[in-house]
Amino acid sequence: MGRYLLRRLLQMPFGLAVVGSLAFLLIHLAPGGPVTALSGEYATAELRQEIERRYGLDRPLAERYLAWAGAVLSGDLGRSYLHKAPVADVILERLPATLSIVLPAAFLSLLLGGAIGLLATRAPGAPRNMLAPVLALMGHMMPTFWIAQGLVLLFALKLGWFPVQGLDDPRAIRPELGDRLRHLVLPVTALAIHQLAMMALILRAALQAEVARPYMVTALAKGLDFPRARRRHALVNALHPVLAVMGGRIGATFVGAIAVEIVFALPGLGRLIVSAAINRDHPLVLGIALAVCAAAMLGNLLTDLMMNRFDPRMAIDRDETSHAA
Amino acid sequence: MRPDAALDPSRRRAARWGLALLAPPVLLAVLAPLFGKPRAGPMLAAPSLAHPFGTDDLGHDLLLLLAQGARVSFEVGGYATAIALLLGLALGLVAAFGGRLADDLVMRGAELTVTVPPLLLAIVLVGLFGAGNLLTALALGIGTWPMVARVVRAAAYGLRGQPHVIAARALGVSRPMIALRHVLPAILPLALSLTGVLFSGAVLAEATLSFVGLTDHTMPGWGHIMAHAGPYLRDAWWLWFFPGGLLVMTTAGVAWIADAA
Repeated sequence: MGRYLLRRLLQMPFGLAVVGSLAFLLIHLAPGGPVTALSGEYATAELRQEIERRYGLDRPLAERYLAWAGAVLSGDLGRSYLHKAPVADVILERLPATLSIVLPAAFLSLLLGGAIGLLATRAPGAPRNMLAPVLALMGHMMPTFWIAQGLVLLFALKLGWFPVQGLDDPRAIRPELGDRLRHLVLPVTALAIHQLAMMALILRAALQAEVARPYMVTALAKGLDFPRARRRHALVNALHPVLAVMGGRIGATFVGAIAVEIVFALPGLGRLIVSAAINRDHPLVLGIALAVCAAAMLGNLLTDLMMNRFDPRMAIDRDETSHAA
Repeated sequence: MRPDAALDPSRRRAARWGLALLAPPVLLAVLAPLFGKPRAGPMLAAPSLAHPFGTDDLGHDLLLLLAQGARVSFEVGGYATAIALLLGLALGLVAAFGGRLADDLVMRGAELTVTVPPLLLAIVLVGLFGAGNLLTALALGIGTWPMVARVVRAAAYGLRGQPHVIAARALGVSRPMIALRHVLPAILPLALSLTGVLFSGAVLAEATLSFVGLTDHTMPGWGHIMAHAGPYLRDAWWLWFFPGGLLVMTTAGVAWIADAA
């Protein structure tokens, strides 16, 4: 176990180095550059040269790569061109808004999605219900931002129960907790609807396979009623695929929050990524990419460890345990 | 794909529903060139006979805008699916038949690719290289090929011990030929069964990209139209209802047809 963990932890920096280097190369191959974004389209040649000199953009690519890689290795992600601040600070400043919708949504979706997935599982041969198609509709087919706009339309604009956007009431003198929570209800719901549907679908699919197995027949034959057998016996065995899929989606969850942040005008990471890419803010794009990938890799590792813990059938030495699809 | 699929009434029902859902968006996409460019009319007009889906804040007929958007969705979805399938099939077969080194390289590449969320990859690529149907599709296809490659590789590995493959090897057929002639036809249906997931995923991703503004502004996708609707939601429900409705009809239709196939 210790050796496995060590090997996986040692693989992470290597993976990050490859992703980071590829991203660096790709970003500098892209047409247009930060100079135009910084100086405007009608800048004089002198101003452009001055900007190039100041940000070190006139040096050869290899030299810039080595400088950047060296800085990253010593924990310095560089300075954002546009925000005129260290990349790490810019990211950390935006992180709370994103986490304040991603974490509650994840919690809700695990709990509610799990419950719905459990209850939606039928005994083998029982008639179908409409729950699965409806869940699939919410989880796979509706874009999150459409759900978010629909919630705004109904609960904010028509009914007036919740504020339309933002994190705090702009008229408030200082942020209040109750007001903040009221602002978070709709974004969290929008994000959670999508995720809990996914969670419920995966759990249901896994459970549906488990309840057809001989041990369930035995449990039922011994007089256990179906709901109890489903919860006591099938659920534990069905957790494995759920963990695998949900763990692999940690990175995607952050990115999925982008559209919700835009609908509700939340100052989160998502909008930062988009504006950084459009404005050619190279250090910031690279910093965010590295951060999201590191989070995704940690998520995968955590998932694999948990699966090994839950499922003794999985030998710890096997390396085919990472499935993040 | 399954031989008994045609016999199962519930599958046939699902396929019929899927086709019914998919038909209107497809029709819009096909007819879009006939409609021509949307002309300016009354602003934010509610749906009426003159403008069946209403008009947007600039007075464009929403039906015509959405018809153009349908073309974007289907083109990006189609290209992205084709790119992911081609890349996945090629790399999956290389992994299965190209020896240990090729296998390692492809599988490590797949692992690295899936640590980057596909949407993040697409946002960065489209943000840097610009939007356009092919570019957007390329960005999406690059993010999703590992899904295909893994399935193809696993299936190809399973086929290596099959009698017809062993026979071909005994006859001295080269490995690339075995992969193309004797293995590819057998795993093609499996790879194609991912079409539905890939296509609806790409359509949704394109909508999200154009929602956040990463789109070709001369030919806005459905997502862009919905982003535009934001400030007018209070008065113009149709700007929210119709684009999203068409999008859901497309993804749901494709998914149901794929389920039944």
